[in-house]
Amino acid sequence: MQQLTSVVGILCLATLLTACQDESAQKVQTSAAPASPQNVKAVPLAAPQTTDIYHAEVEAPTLPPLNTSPDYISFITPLSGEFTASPPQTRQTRLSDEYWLNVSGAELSGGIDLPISQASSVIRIAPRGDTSSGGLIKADAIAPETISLSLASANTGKHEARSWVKSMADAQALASAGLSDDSSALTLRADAKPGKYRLRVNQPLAAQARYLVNVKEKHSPYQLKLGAPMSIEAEAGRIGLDISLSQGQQGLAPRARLIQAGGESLELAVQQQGEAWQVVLTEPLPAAKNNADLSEIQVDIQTEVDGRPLLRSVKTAFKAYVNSAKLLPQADSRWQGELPTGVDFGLELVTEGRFGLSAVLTGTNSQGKSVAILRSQAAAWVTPDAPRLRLELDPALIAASGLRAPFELRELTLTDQGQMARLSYQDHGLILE
Amino acid sequence: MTIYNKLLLLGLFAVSPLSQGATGIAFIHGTGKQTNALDDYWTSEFVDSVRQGISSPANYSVINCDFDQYMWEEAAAGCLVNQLTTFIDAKGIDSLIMLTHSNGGNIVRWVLSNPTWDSRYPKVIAATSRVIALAPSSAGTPLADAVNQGNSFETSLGWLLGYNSNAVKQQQVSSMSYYNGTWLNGTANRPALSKPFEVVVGSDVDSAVWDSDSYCAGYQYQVALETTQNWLDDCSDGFLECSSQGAAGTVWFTDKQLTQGQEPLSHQQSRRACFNLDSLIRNHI
Repeated sequence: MQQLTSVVGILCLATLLTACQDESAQKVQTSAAPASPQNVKAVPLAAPQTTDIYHAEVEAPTLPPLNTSPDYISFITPLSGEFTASPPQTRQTRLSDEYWLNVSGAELSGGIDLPISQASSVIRIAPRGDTSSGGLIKADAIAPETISLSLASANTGKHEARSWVKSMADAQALASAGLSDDSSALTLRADAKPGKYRLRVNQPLAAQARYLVNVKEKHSPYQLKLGAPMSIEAEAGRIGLDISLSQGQQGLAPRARLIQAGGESLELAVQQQGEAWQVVLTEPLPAAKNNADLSEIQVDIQTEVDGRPLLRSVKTAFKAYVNSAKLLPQADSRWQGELPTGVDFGLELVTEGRFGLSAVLTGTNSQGKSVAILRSQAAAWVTPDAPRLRLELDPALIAASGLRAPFELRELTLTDQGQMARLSYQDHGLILE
Repeated sequence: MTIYNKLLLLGLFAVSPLSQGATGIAFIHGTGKQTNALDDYWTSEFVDSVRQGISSPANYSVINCDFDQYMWEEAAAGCLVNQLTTFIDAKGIDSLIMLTHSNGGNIVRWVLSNPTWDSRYPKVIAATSRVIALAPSSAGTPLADAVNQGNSFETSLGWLLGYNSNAVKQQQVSSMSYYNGTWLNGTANRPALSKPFEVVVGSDVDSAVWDSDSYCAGYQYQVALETTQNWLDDCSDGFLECSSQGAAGTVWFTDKQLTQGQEPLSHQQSRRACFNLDSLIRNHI
């Protein structure tokens, strides 16, 4: 009997352990928790800091939203350990040791000059599309064996007859490796000298056909660097760019081009201010054509290094968006006894849409340090008539953590799932106590 | 062992979560629209070998979706969670192992990172125990940039010409940097993924005509991948740089550390039964 009692006892213990495991798993809700007898306390949001992301003005997006789901979804992930915030990356840097030229079939037939500064460089020629005649005309792929390449003598300017090509790859071969745009490529020999090469295609080409010539100079010491924002709000007046060329800073005259999501392209005026560069926008950015694509900034330079011409192109992507909502400065926190169960946020918005919130809830340990308890995420279709979004908290997880008030919502982030854009970020969101 | 102890163990097992469900494995392909990924992407040799590593090898699913689309689209992530949910329900799976290749890793990271995007996602996340990502394109590839480069017409309508799908656009290096910084978890200075994301990295391409290892998964692919390595770092599988493959999650191993004969895995070979890759995964799960 004693043994049976022990077995039953262990079964009960195991059942409890199972319950505990369930509590430590992610918790999902597909509707906001119903009102229950809880204390509601108004709580102010912390003032945005300079390192936060925040826009004061709210505008109506004009493009169809990517996500139109009406569902309220709440998702809680348990966390543990001392909390250190990870501020969002707002800029990115790209390096380039290559350049791109857009040329015509006639130019390729007549021959084009290609400055090359590095041995073992690769030249790729990709047929592109043309709609100038009203219909779509796709250029023919180029057989690499019909390409001739010669180097102009530094002394006489005459082109040497010697072959500088180590290997060739045709369109079929490159497609099998992921370059599926009908391009073909030549790889230069390891003893190919820097200089101005002349490339000519000896197969019949339509004069108006469009081609992209891509010269990749792997391991070149001349790297063009472009740093730019990862997100640009529609009303931004200027775009700060970080442009530099390793081992060749003098005489840079960068040309910049914006390729807006959906394809519209325009030249940007780049101004130098000290060592920095910036694009001053006299008008708002041209509107994106859709919410799915990213926009791009491409920078090209043409300069000379050690008396030889050098070309470089580099591009970077960014999200163009409008600030479609912001959090109101006061929220309502809900409590069961000493434990918070959720926070209702008010939103200022002009038009309805699907918005998401996320934050990390931290508590205070016996040493007074902030310790992570959980990450809460929620999203819903929010309208101007009912502009509220609830971020659920899990009292059981909070109790199990053993941590005490003050609790704090960190990394409070508002997103627009229709635009796929992050609208705001506050490292210190609000304090719950 | 006494009857008492046996009873204790039996009792613990009866209420253990381990006894209430089953382990399953899903094979999730990379970029492209698949209708028969078993034959056209993975091969039966690979799938049948790997699935022997779980207690019920019949608990497997080979996903067929349109991963030419952006990761969040219905044809991509929506299709994936639909097929996974059907699999989970049919087999009673509560411990799902997702085995991904290339861009399949990004689709899975999208689902794991964005549970509030779609009400179907949380169930799949809850059932997932871990992800094994073979050569994932977590930080994109310069080859996607190369294919996309051109005039504005190319940027917007390149798909008309049979290339430049949204999935290729998404895998441009600076695009993935944006997605990793805002919508995808698991990279440096971002929230960790809620499930383990173990990565196998391919680090080189062998295409020597005299080396029989160059012929695993097709010699012609090896030659082409050696050409495309010119656009990539010295450490690459011919399509992805090692740094991109290891950008999210934790690296389980880099090919030569564990493969038979310390052979590298090219991007074609990392989804085939080359150099014991299948048995390494089988023994790991």
